[in-house]
Amino acid sequence: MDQDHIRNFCIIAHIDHGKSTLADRIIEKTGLLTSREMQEQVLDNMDLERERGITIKSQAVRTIYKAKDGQEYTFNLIDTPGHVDFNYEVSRSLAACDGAILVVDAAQGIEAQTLANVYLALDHDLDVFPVINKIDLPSAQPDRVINEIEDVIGIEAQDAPRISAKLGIGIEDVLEAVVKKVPPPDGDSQRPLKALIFDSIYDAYKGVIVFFRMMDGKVKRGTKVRMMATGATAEVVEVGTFGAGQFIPCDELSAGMVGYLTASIKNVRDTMVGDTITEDDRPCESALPGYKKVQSMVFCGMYPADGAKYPDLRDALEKLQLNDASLNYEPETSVALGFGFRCGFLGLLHLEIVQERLEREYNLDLVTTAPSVVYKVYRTNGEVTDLTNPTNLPDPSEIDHMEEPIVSAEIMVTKDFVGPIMELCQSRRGRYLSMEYIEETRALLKYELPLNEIIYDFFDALKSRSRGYASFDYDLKGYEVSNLIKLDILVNHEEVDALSFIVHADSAYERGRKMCEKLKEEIPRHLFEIPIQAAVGGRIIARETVKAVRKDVLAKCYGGDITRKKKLLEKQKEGKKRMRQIGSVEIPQKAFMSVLKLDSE
Amino acid sequence: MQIYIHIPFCEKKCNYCDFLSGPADASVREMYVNALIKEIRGRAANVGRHDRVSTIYFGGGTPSVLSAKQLGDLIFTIGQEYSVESDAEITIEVNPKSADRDKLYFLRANGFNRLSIGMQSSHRGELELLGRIHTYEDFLTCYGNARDTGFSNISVDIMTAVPGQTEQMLASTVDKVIALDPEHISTYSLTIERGTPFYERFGDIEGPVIGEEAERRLYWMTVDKLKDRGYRHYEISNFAKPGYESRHNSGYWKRKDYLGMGLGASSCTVTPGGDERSRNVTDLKTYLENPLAREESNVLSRNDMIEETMYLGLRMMEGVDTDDFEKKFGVTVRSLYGDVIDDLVAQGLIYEGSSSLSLTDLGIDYGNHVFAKFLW
Repeated sequence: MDQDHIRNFCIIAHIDHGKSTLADRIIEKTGLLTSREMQEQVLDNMDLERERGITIKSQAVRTIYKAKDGQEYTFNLIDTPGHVDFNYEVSRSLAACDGAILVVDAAQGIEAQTLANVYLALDHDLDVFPVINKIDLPSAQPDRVINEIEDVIGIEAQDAPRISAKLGIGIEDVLEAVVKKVPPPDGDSQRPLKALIFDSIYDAYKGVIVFFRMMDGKVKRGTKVRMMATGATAEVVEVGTFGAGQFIPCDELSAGMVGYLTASIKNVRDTMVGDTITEDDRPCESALPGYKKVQSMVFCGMYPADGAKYPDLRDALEKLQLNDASLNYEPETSVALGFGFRCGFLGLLHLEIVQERLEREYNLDLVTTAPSVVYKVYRTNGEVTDLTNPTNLPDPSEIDHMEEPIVSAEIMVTKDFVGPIMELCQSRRGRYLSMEYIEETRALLKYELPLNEIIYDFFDALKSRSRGYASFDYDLKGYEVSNLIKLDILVNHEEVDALSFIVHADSAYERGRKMCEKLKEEIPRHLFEIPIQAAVGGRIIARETVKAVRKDVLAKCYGGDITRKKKLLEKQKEGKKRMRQIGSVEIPQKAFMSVLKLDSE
Repeated sequence: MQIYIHIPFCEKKCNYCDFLSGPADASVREMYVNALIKEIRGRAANVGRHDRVSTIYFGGGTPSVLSAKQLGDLIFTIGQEYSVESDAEITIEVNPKSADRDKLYFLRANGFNRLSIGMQSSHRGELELLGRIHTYEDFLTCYGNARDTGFSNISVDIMTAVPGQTEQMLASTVDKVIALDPEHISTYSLTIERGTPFYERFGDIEGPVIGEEAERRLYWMTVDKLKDRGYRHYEISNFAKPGYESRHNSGYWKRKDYLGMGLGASSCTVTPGGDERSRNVTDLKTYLENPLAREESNVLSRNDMIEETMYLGLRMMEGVDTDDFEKKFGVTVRSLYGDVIDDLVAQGLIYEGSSSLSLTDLGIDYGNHVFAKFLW
């Protein structure tokens, strides 16, 4: 295939602006699949992704388009994850493209992720062209949105296709625009092999399947390849391109193409996203820029509800890790919960996805502890350690000071909600940086926020305080000294290690109080009274009591009473919660995540 | 099948009573009896001749406010329209004040073979507080007359946890009842219901007026006394000499079908889709116009029936018969409630026998908590 007739591109959009639907239409219109074969959303092939409406793993699809100029073009559409947790993966997917379709909702206009993604795309020198989607909506204002794109982003938008991906309107215009506006790949097939890994998956039969974009050179069966960052080497068994939902083997891949290879690689950790593939015998001069080792941002404890299932959990994590190089775990023990694992994730969404997969695909019943960020503990003896589990915090006398991770956040919000959002950021220890009006009614707020203030429920709080109109994006900035302490929770006078969490000293009292209130709601009445206490360094700072079950029995229940009394009993019944026995108290499993919901009111 | 007849009249409403009843003049009572007879006839059409009636229960209100003739007409109509078993248990609730010797004699002669006498207390002060119209002496007279007229199955109601009631006061009431040697005794803890004078007086309180612990003390004292004297504690609030357990009321806890007739009466009838619980209209005028009108009816799902089987069965000290359960529902109780049972057994609230599940003494105290656990 001649390089001039290849178009490597991606679609970028704010969540729900219609990225996946447009991808489906492109695949449909290019005739690779008949409508009948189309699944609802071809690119999202995991059940979980479909339910959440988020694309998790990068994937690619190759389609053939016969353009109005009569020529056939190969489109490689590379899908990008849509969540800030996966920013690095997004950046690598973008690096594999030459252009990007920017989808903007004709009713909602530019949102925070729109901007973040556009800037990311421009940073990678992609040619970005806009498409105005959802013009079928009664509230659509395409002209306003076009002006907004030109004013705010500064890219030409007057001739942007006005489409409805849902109804299939204007898709031809998009395809023609891809041909005209996305440049063909450069690169030289004669030079040494140089290819960018943007994803990899593990297959039980073929081993790791590596997804990559060819920059220079060629690769085929028998080529001995080397991953430049990890140093792993392997002999290629198969190369090919991506059909929709299937792999199509071919003889050779050359510069500009997008495809996959298999090489009996056993571990996805050998083929990290962003790494450069080269030929072992004839390596390229330098690796592609931008490779980063993934770092877990959020940690939590995961324990089997039934202690006997510990080996099952270990096996399941092992299998998940085969496919998910950004998942980390190591064994740990909790007094309250027994044997389990401390797991590291890219963010809260990543955590939730892994948790759901463990429960759904591996049928495990899990107790998950409150997520924590990574704190740096500077000891008086000069040692510096990363703290991922609050329980492991050294004695205060051994701590010189601590640092916590800080992010720079961008929040886009309509004028009416600026006040409430600023209050929210303030209450989360945010440091105000700037505010600019990107148009009359919308502002872009910039804040620095401690990561531990936003991993929990910031997103929800943001949505509720802006009636859904605020959007949000962030980047890790670095670490800063902070006055942090460990808050312990005692249930029936027993400290429950799995409920401890690290908190800024100023909010310890409030958090402790709310935590006690929350646990009081969560823990059902027992036959005895249960005190719930929050303590800092052994000093009780808050207390609530779960009252004992009342001694109470219906004195009469005859013919006329049966229906009436049942209603009365129903008021009394507790939902069937899965419980964990701690001492003599049963604590619902989900209570261990209570700290996540402290600010939901 | 069982039949329940509701008589919504009394001479004066008691201070704690939230039943559908009240005083009414003679003409209203007469119209009511006529409507009720219409209902008894009307409903008979839907009952198969082979469906034999094993118990009849006249409750209220105070059924004994009706005249002997009215009560006779009602029981006669039932006998005409339904196949009543020859040994059927036929009960009527009476107030000591409105059941004189002649009326009792008439009732006994017309087939009533069980009396439930509302005594409540032997203390004048308590009876006055409760708003009862009779004295302890009235009760003694009534009880004597009942025996004289041939009632050999008598139940006496006692009220416990009455405000101001001490252990000694209750003990003396119980002792006096035991001395009379009735076949059956019911003891009910006073609960304050909305819309009663007591509700106005004591307000919207959670639990018994005298406090949860005091109420339980009185309860267990009563249980101990009655058991000592040979009464079987067969249901949370009911005691009987062996063989004298109320067959009619046991039917409710064992989920037998029953046809309730009269104002606001409830029924539980077997239908192909599941048991149906229904209720007659509660407005007197509507009832008099159309005594067959129903206000509510609801076919129970399998889950509803299972839940009922559990929380009604657990009211009986013999508990839920788990073999029976399996026969009826085709699954074991354990397969549905294994976790709940383990939990409750571990807490000492229920006892799991080889083919039964029953409340322990502690379980009785926390009865509602236990019942609620068996709801989905």
